[in-house]
Amino acid sequence: MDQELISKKDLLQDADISYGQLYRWKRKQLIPEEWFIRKSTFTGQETFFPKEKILERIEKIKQHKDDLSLDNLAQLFTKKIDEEPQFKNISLSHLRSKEMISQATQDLCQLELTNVDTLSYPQAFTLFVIEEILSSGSCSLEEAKLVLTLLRDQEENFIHKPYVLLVSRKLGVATAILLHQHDEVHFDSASKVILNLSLDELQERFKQPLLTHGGIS
Amino acid sequence: MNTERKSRLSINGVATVDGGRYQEVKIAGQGTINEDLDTIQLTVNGHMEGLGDITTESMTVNGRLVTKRDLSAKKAQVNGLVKAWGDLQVPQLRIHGEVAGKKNLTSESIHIYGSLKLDGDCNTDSFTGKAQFQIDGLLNADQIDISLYGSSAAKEIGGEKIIIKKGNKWNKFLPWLQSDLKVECIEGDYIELENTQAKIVRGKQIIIGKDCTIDRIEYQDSYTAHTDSKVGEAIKV
Repeated sequence: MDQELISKKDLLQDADISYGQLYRWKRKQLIPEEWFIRKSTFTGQETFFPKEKILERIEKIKQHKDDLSLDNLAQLFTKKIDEEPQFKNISLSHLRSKEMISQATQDLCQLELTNVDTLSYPQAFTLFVIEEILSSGSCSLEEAKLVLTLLRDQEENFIHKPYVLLVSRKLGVATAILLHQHDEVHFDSASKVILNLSLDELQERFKQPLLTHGGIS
Repeated sequence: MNTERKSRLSINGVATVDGGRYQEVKIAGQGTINEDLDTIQLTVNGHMEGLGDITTESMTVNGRLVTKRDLSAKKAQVNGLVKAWGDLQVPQLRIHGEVAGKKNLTSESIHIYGSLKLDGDCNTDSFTGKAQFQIDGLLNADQIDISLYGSSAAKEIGGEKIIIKKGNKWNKFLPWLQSDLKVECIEGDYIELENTQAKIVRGKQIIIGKDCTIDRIEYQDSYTAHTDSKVGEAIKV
């Protein structure tokens, strides 16, 4: 995949940050190692970054750096959910009390675990996605169920990969699709995309209250 | 899993033990620990060899500690030698002897009166002292303030404030002691260098002191160089 690169020098200028900040964020793993791309230029080795990703990430770091510590920020961006204690055993009643999950969502998802209060991270995040879909009002209950089945099937995958969730409708029949973020997709003209949701972005929104108030049971 | 801590493990003489969880571990002779060791306090006055991971809150090594796996210590004082084949995680590290690691060292504060040798990267908030160091990867620290005693090298150095000076305390006694730093690339907001050979130095404010050889300098705000130093080209970007 061809992506536009930006040199470190240009990045510092464009994003208005210092070497110190960049190295600190790298050290705290706010910027993943694999985004540092080394290339030889006529002045020797230089470091490049995937432009779109790094600018977006720096924007987010700047946005959050006043209300979250650097370590919390790292957790916000991490894909290694399993290693973070904050994301283990999320309490359903806590999510309910924070109004992150409504009764309607809980009913729809009819948790097999009706008596259980602690959820795994994928389970809790699935609920959050359904909540988002229902509250957006763009999908019917049936379509939300479709998404639910898809997410449950892909539970192992979807939290680690930068997926986009698409729901399209054609002649009243809905299809739910999980797509890798940077892939292109084209629909025929009779299909209508009724939902386009970046799960990556949604995960960050989901994690934030867990980190700030501690949604741990 | 048994989470109870046993109170104390003490080796005086020569012994091999399995490992486990303790309040306190003291080794005065020679001890080999076959499996993972987790202890609040670890003191090595003789020689200890660890074959499993070592986790401790506070560690003092006056002799020699060699570990084949990862070592994690919240606080460590090394007066002798620590050698690790795995990753080193030591938020507060004081070296008065030598630390050698085959992988990365992650810390918050490293203070050296001795030497540090790493095959990987060194990540820390502060890196200070009078030292000889050899880091095959990246030295990444907010604050670097080092007086060089002996030949030092790093592949790359990056951070906010980077000050490298020649240590001169031993000049009279050890005039043959060569104190210099070889590095490919240095990047920082404030950089002050002495006795340094670098291919490229990039920064906001750059001050090149005595006896440096720098192929290329890229600076944003200011740049000065001592007349004893050789600078290939200096460019304002």
